[in-house]
Amino acid sequence: MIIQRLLNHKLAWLGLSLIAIVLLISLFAPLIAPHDPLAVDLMKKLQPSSTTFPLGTDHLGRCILSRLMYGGQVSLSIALIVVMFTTLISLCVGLVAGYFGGRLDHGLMRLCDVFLAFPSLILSLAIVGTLGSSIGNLIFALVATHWAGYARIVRSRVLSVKESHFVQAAIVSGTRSLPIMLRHILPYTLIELTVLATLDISHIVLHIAGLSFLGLGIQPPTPEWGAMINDGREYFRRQPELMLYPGLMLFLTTLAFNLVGDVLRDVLDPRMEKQMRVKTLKTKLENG
Amino acid sequence: MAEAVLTVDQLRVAFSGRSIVHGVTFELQPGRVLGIIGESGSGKSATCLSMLGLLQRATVEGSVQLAGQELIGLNAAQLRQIRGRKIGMIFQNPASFFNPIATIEQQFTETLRSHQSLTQTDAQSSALHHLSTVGLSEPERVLRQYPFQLSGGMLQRVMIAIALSLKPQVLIADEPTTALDVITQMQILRLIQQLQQQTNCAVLLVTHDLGVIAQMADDVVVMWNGELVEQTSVNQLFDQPQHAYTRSLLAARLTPRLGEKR
Amino acid sequence: MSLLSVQNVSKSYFLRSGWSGAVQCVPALKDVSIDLISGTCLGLVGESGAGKSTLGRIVLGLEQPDRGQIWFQGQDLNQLKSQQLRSLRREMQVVFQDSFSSVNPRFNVKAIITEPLCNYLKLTASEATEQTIQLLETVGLTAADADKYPHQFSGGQLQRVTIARAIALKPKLMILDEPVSSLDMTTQAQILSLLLNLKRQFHLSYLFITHDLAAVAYLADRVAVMYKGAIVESLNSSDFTKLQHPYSQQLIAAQLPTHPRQRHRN
Repeated sequence: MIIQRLLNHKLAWLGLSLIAIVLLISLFAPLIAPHDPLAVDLMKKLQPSSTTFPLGTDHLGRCILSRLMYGGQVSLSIALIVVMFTTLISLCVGLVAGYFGGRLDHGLMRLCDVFLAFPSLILSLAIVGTLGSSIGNLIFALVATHWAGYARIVRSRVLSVKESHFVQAAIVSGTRSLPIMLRHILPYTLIELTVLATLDISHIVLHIAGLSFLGLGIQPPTPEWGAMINDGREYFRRQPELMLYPGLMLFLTTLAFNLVGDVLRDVLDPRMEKQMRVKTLKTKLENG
Repeated sequence: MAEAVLTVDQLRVAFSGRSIVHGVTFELQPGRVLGIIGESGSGKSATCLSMLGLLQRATVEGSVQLAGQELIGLNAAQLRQIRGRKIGMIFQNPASFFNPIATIEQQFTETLRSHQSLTQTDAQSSALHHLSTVGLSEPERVLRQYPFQLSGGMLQRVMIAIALSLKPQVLIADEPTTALDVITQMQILRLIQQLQQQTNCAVLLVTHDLGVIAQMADDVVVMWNGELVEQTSVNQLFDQPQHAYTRSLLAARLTPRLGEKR
Repeated sequence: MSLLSVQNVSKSYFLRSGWSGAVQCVPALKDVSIDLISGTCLGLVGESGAGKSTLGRIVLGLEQPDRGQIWFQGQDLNQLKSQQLRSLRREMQVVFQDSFSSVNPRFNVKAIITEPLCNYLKLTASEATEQTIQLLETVGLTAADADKYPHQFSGGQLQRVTIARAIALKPKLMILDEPVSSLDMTTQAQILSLLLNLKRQFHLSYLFITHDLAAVAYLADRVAVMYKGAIVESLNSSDFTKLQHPYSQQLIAAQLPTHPRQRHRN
């Protein structure tokens, strides 16, 4: 039913199509990319669009189109892994803190506060800078930056669901804490978490791009949109496409996820679920 | 007999093809209280809301005449003239009636000024006057409050005050006391009775509670599954119910009352 | 001996009012004591906000009182460890006012009813189904309803499901927190009649919390009147007209008439 309502929104269609396009391109990059993204040929450097190189070549003679396609693979797969771990950690923390309350809740929330106190880019820079810029450390840094915000939201949802009568009835029926958390409370946190994650993926992709732009994310020669923007800085006057195309890909991907996330949030808003919607009747009575 | 102030003829209401009210006919006499009783799903609320065009996505057919003027088929502007001024309404849940982020004063004076040309000061004093009519002891204080600061009973009184301030010919009360507790319920019902006698407006009272009918109604219409199954005076209904459904309603009353022997 | 004895229970809530954060102490229960004899129904009447539901939650162990004791079957609930409390929970079940919010909308009826059973008994799948059907039939529903979901039922039918869930473990005490207030008249009568039959059939004891005097007259053996967090009077329900307290008298006077001839005139 939710999927149905989602598909009723035209914006959702746009967002989903864009996501599908980007995902498909990234997935099938090895099959559809015209050239090897790592193939260096200095004789062909900084060429404009041609039939051989549809988007031209970069400063090392590599095909920009191929690098864009492969770049999507890297960014999106890392983003998805980050979202997975973030969701897992924040669910555990949020459920436990919200359900048990007391000192456990206090302690966990103060831990969240510590992580939330740092601006996310600075924190991730610090982690990657200290531990070194491997993909594993990159994922660790991103999860560390994002989990606390999610955990707070999960916890507040748990607090409100905990007060509902069906949870109280389950307690009175003798159900133990773990089954209550998993069977009764968890499903109601997943909805909001999904919306949050969808909107956050674009943040994470931008975050990765940002770190790569600063040289601390994905290391060369692996193609990645942020790194490509960084590479293109020197040649901005001669060949702005080096920055433009990866920037455009980032923009489209971010836009796509944000559109879907926005529509998802509207669709899941419980206040819109009334069947017979009688508008604020006061306004009806006074001025129709 | 005086001419009916509200005449409903074969009113039909349907939602996306599904018929909720299957052709209902009754009359409301001036100065009298007509009770509409039925269970949830009987179509009693839909009947009243559809008269004023308050049901979105519903198809309404038939005829509803207010002192000769046909209400079905009016456009939004014309309905605006009718609602509030000619037909007032009060609802079960006062909280959904009010804008939660505006004070009572703002909402009350806005309503008054949209139907009558009054200055803000005049509207304010009119509001104060009406609030004291409904038994609120500190009307100035109430005016300054936001809806969430008032109890259900007080909000209901405010809603009645607003509805009656426009001096409508007909007042539709849709389960006005269902959400209130026992003592407040009786106070509100007697208030409605008192005001009705003072202003001589006709009241259409929708309820599922026979006790409310016994206390308030002059005439009664019984609805069941979207149909009108019985229509009679209140004494007749309790003494000699004709329809099987009416009889089952009366039999389902809980007896004895508190204090009587079992 | 009393099945349930509440002694001098008090409970207050602290609310922050306004931007300054001034803390206001709102007393919900003031020195409340009630006694419930096994096999009887004690009606607790009062306005909303009088503290009745708070008392119900405290008796169920969902909240702790600030002062006082709750004795159930001779045991002080406050002194029990969580394991003992859990085993005592079998004997004390609840039916809430709004049936739709007291069941998990994702569970079907079978899952709803077997949850308490599976918490305490080891049942095979077929035993669980059998018991579910038995319970459904006891409350006036059918075996076919076991696979349905809450949204497929009306308020009255779903309340029957919650009652089936409550009697599944054959408890001694049922807390009924406004069980019929959300239902319309005919359904109210049906559910109350069911509750009366179940009480007789299974020798249940009820703590019946409500603001509806007609329902109390029908179901309760004794009535306690609550006003602003305190018990002001309590009597056998047949002696209710002898109540002295002005609030109790207001309550009686506020009852709706059963016939137009008995209506209150201005």
